[in-house]
Amino acid sequence: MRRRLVYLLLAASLAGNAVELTVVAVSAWRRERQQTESINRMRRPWGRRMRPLLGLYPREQERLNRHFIIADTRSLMLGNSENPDPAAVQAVHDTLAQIKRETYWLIYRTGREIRHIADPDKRRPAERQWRRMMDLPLDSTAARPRPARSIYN
Amino acid sequence: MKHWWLYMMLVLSLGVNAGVLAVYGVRKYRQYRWDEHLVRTMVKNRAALRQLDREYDMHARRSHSLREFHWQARRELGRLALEENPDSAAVEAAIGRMVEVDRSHFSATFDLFRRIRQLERPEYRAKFSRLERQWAKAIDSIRAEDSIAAAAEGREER
Repeated sequence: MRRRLVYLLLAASLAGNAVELTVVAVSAWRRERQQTESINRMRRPWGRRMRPLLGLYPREQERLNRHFIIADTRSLMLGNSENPDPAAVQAVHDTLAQIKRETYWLIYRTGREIRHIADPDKRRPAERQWRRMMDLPLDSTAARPRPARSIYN
Repeated sequence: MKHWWLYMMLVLSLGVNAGVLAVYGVRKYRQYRWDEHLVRTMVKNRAALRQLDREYDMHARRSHSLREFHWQARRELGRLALEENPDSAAVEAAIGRMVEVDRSHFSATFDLFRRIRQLERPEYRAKFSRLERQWAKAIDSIRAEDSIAAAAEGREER
């Protein structure tokens, strides 16, 4: 009778162990997946602060960064007010979008400048930096798109 | 003691059970204490705290999909910049797509901020208003620096 009770207890306890181990393994796997996802999200931030690539346009970069901070803070302040004027909210979002547009044009102009670097020892690292910044494959042959039309047809 | 191993296994198994349950209990208790702290200092009640979690989670998901669109356009722009003769309409379109995504993100973040404000305790909001006054001062000082720098640049150019 006593041994039967021990067997019963042992069976229940082992079953409990199995359930616990499964739960621990599944939650560890889920946590791992969530961490990977959040790292991937962080790897691609929104407003990656534009680094002075090639040392070009530092004044414009600085001006745009400052204007962005001011407009962003203004947006935050409007969000905190009791009844924000929708027109004011729209205006500040338009300003932010305009600053972003100017920033992207500046980034594009910077990218175009790489083509004009005559010294290949300077051009190659700049191109690599550009590719990294724009999330392009580092191998230039792989990234370059095939021409739409071949010269033979 | 013919079956000593049986007892040993039982003790070990019960020990594992007790350990796992103890760890679970401690973690739950810590989470409870942290939630209590947030409810005391930041949000109105526990329901508001759960709502806050949901809001952040929804925003993170939405931002993640927007970010993917943003990076697609960004890659396109990066590729165009390295081309021999990039199509200016394609450049404009890529930049336009990036700006549209940004605009959606500004709007979504603003709406999230408004909703979060509704869940907060009045004391916490008051604290935030004090911060807001500090920001206003900081903005004024940045604007003043900008105007001084612009004036200096004007003098240099002359």
